[in-house]
Amino acid sequence: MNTERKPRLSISGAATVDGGKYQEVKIAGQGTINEDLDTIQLTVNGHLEGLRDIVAESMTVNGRLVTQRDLSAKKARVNGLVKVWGDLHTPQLRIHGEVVGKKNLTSESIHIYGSLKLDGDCNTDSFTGKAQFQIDGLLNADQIDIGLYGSSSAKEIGGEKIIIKKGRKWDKLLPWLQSELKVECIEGDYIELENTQAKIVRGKQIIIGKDCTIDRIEYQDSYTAHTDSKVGEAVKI
Amino acid sequence: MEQELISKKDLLHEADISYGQLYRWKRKQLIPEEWFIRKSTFTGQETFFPREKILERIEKIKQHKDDLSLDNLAQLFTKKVDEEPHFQNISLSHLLSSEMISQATQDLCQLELTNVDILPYPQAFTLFVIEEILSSGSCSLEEAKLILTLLRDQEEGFIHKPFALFVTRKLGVATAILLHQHDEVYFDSASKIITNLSLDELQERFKQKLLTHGGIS
Repeated sequence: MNTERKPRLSISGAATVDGGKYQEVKIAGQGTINEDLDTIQLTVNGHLEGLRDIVAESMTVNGRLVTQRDLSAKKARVNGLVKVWGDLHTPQLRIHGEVVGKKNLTSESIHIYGSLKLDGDCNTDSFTGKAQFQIDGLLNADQIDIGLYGSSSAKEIGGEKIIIKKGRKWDKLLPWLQSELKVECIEGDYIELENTQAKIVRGKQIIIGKDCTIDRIEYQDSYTAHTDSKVGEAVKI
Repeated sequence: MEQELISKKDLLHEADISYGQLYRWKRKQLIPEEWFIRKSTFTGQETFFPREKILERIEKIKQHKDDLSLDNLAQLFTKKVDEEPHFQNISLSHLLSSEMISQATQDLCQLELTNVDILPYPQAFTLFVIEEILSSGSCSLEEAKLILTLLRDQEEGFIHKPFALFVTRKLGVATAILLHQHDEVYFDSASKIITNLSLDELQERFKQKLLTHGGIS
């Protein structure tokens, strides 16, 4: 394969292309890419379907991007929808729309003002924003700071500092919106929770805020709970 | 072989680490996924680890974490050397100039190395093993050649699996043996074990030197 980067691939209208190496790829209409694509800049304003791996330095998706294999983008901004059937590797990820991943997501910083749905694990240094998420595996992050909008879930959450609160902004506007998090197990050094249902929460410092249902808490240093919350048992380890 | 397990709670306490550190190390692949063993207990699911392995690994992480980044540490522990760009194409002249291997080692192994400077990882590591053996002074040049032949034949195997290298001498005749690190081995009393090297440990040292000295083109 030719290793030179071609300057530009631009699709407006509908087209199917082979892939290759580019400086810049812009999709305005509907594009299908049959082979691996490697580009510095990827902009999708229309609809792009990738049949193989996609690698980009910087990616902006305003429309839809669906890829059958892995997607890797150093800097990714999703305003529309991204759906990935393989692994998703995005060191800097900002979601203002929706990201759906069928495998694992690895990142350094994930900022969400939208929704994330993952069948695998989510590994990142920070996971912040106002979000609705569903992670079927483990959410593993140093810093988690999330305002919940809508019902979210994860199998397990682990990290250093974990703060889950109810998103307040739409309280009056959308009073029927059920903002809650369902999770089996949360483990961290500092944990602050609201609107969370968990089987077990383990940590050094645990603060249980409003509207939580926790079966069992194991803490090392300190533990407090809001009177509105139900805690089965709390044990100092 | 039944291995002794340690629960996550006990591990945090015994190794004096936090949840944050443990999850971070897991994320950076410093602790292999398969060491996280899930079991049901009366308080629900709990995670256990193979006790000896995890304590040893955490000790090493703590030891190195000030001089190597977490990503470098992960490279140190990885068995997938062929996927790691840092360990591809190692320059022989750099190994010599950073004193990772000596002239004597190069001379001994020279046969196939004429005019080649860039070495694949297994070959470079083989040189490092020979260097270790020669500098320990326990083997003669002839015996080192014997070891070299053995390592070259088994190049692929010992890079990916934990092997130990034994050299025994009986009535002045040396034998070199490669075997799985955790297997037990017995020799007759007339055989004298002159070298017992853990190639796994040696590989870690080799990688650490590569990461700190460069030596990579």
